[in-house]
Amino acid sequence: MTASLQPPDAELVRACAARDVRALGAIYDRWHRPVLGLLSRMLDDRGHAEDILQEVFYEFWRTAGAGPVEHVVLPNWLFRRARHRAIDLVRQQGVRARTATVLASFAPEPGDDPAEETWLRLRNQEVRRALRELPDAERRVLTLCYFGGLTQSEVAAATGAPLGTVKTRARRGLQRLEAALRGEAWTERQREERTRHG
Amino acid sequence: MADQARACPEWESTLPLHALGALEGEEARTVASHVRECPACAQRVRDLEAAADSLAFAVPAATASAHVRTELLRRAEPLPPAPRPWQHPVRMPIWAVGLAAALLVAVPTASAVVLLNEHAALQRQGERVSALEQRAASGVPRVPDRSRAARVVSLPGSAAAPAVTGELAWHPSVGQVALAIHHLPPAPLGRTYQAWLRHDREWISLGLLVTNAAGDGLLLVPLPATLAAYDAFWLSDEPVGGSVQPNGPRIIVARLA
Repeated sequence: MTASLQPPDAELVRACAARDVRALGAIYDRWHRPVLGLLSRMLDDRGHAEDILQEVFYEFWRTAGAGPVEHVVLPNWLFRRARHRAIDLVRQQGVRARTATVLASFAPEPGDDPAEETWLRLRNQEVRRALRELPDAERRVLTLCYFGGLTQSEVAAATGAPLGTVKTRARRGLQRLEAALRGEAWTERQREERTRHG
Repeated sequence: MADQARACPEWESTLPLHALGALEGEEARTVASHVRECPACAQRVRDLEAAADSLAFAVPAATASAHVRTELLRRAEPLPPAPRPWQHPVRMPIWAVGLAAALLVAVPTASAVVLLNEHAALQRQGERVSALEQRAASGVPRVPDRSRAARVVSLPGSAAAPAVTGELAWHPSVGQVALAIHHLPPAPLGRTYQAWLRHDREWISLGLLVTNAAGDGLLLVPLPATLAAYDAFWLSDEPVGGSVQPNGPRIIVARLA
């Protein structure tokens, strides 16, 4: 269960659309740490990570001032833009290096860093719990795709699994993660029934 | 999952990979095209993307260096008042046209013709020479001319815009500088390109650069001191209307001293 944040993100986004720089500062203070955490996981160079961090928030500021902001949902918008920029950089490093970095640096941990803010700590616990419930192969595919920026073909080459298997693991892994975050039990049978009956 | 969007069954298996950005080539384009046209699949993709984005919370958060916030908010500050409109038209003697033509030797003939034809438009651009004139009139110490010969400086693009090139030339007879820029991409919406010279940590705007469809632009600006008086040239991406000092991304950075 996550605590609600005040003021709500949507209110801060609207303030940014009205060009209130203080709202940008508030959004940065609220979300820069998990965004930088993501970038630090994807990139070896801290300098690159901080450069992209600033560019992502500045891109947000320009986007907020450029038109309707209903589609800007935080923090997902920030994560997505950060990941997109990091993948562009990561793909220059070659698949082999990225695979080693992602698999070596990410492993389910039993506990949480007590220094994290309460909200982030709760969210962190929630997501890690959901990830631990995934089969190893599915979790590996998700982490290679999400943190490593690998395509399905690159994942297949890196793991030695057939492309069709990679597709299935990615699909099931993400659907299981989605269900786990919703607090729902997920079974293959339930998923097939849902798909068949529409 | 009672609230889960009902995606098209034939696309259900590929939507998770699309949400992860793991598709490639023709398959990626085909799925993206369908998602743009199918509201149900588009909603399903949004749900899957939200689940994927939650992975960002699985890794430890990190605190950025303080300068990142400071620089971000400085860039986001409201624009300063627009620079005072330049009131004195640029006088264009024949030699200046010749100088501009000389700089365009490397530019394809068609582009050179277009640039010369845009000379009249540049006269009305109205930017920042008044600051130079004020400095010259105020008795601000000038670095003595080290050379009376015309000086041409090659300008390479930065990592942000490696294809951009340019030349900066100063003609001693009447103290005017000519700037020619090539292969400059169109400025982003709401943005413009602004040229700068730096003297002893003070920035002097040469003006806003207007480019043609080929990305070529030309500025001809009165400049009382030789280029040797300045230690750097920048071309930066600034808000429409320009800035009082360079704040935006740097397109060209060149040392002059």
